[in-house]
Amino acid sequence: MKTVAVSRADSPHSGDFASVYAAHHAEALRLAYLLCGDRHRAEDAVAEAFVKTYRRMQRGGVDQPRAYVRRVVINEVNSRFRRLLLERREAAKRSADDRGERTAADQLADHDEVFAALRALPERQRTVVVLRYYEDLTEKAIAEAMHISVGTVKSTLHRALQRLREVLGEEVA
Amino acid sequence: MAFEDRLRQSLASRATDVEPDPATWDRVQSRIRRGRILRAALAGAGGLAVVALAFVMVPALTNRTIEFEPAAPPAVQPTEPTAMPSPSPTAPPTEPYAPTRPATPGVVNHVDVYFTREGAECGEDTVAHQRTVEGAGVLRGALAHLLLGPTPQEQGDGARTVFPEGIGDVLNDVTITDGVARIDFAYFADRMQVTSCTTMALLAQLDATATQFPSVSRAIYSFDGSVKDFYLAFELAPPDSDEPGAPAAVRQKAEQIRLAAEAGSYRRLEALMPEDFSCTFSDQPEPCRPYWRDLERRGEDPLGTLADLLTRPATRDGDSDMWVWPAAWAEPGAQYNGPRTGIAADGTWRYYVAEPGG
Repeated sequence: MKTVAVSRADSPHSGDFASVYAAHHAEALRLAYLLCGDRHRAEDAVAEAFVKTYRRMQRGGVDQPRAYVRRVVINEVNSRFRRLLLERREAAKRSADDRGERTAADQLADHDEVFAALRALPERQRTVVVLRYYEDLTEKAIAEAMHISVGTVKSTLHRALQRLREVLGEEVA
Repeated sequence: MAFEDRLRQSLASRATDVEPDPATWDRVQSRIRRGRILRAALAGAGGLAVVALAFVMVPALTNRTIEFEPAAPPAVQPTEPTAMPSPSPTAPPTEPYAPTRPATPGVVNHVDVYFTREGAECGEDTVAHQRTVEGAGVLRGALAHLLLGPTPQEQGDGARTVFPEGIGDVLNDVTITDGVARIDFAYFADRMQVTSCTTMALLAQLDATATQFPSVSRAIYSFDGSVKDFYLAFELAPPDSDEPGAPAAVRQKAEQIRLAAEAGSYRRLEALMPEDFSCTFSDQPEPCRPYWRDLERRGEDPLGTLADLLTRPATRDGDSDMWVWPAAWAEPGAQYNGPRTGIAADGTWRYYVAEPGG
């Protein structure tokens, strides 16, 4: 039995999907990693994000693939259900292989005090900070990516920066 | 260095910790085929019991090597086979192999019905088999074919179904509103063995068949008009969205709370709290704002969680005047003790417990 690419009814879009995947996979993975701080969770979330992107493309296309993939990655990483499922899955795997373990890079990341402080932020605040200072998105684009208002982006970013400054001993502006 | 620059530099540096894994492409392809089981659990039924079932199933899935068959060519299928196949490999044919209520004559549509596979009878991997349906009632037609089970040839190729034999006439009604298909059956749970495995397979087959259509994002099932009867028959919690609507006062207050939480405004939330508002159920209630601030320092997001809860439908808590979120909190005998909030029928916000156990 042969393992093959995406199967039925995908012929009209399979080429498009492969292109979207090739163009945005690396960026999506890095975004997911910054949001959750764990490479395995990031890989899992990105795989699921592309599954959803594929299904969406099958239903009629995606106008802005990069923005769409980014939005789905954010949802996947921050999904409470998904987090619980993964915790359960990784717990089950821990005795069988090393996928539940933290790598040297993950441990090194903990020594980056800025990154460590970022990981201690509430999920919403962390997401806004990453989108603003890693993806360089405008407040309007962040609002669209997170399905929240621009006002909420501003207030969340303000609280997040305030918290980071406190934790990192920076002077509050 | 400016603080914002320090942030940018750290994020850019950390992002290089990870490099794309070529194996992810294979995972994506595999999930497109087999991911329906998880969607069935999370989107189809929506209840806590189903989520719990998914917890049980997912580790099992990840420990198994699954190969996927090549894409099936668009083989010519018999429009309406003349012989009824047995729904299970051992059952003899008992009735004509055609839906008992065929769609009205008209355009012939190709639809998929989803069966399980030999060796994956718990629905870990449903496989599409093409059928044809005449007329506009494609969902009804697809479901009717689903109930009839795989053909003998498909069975020989490994297709299996969890539906009991001889239930080709149990499909009562099918309606689609706002992306939600409501599918009513005559009671048939007493004709099959109900286990976590058969329940998972049943939902996987039903949900995959129902949600193949762009107009259907999820499906709610019922027995003889009762959603509760269907889900209880399979030891599941009824889906949230089928609960009766909350009073206007509850809905209005919920929206005010949600917007305040979404904006991260403790001041606006406090303005919505009565004096006897509870944010813990401990013997010595704490002031809410310091408690929630403390949760934030521990990496929780109590206001975001509250906003998320209130995007879901309200559920009446038994016979009381309290409407609660999430639905799992109101289930009789439920073990749920996660984040929850409640508003009285007169619109008074009574409590919000932000962490498990409260």
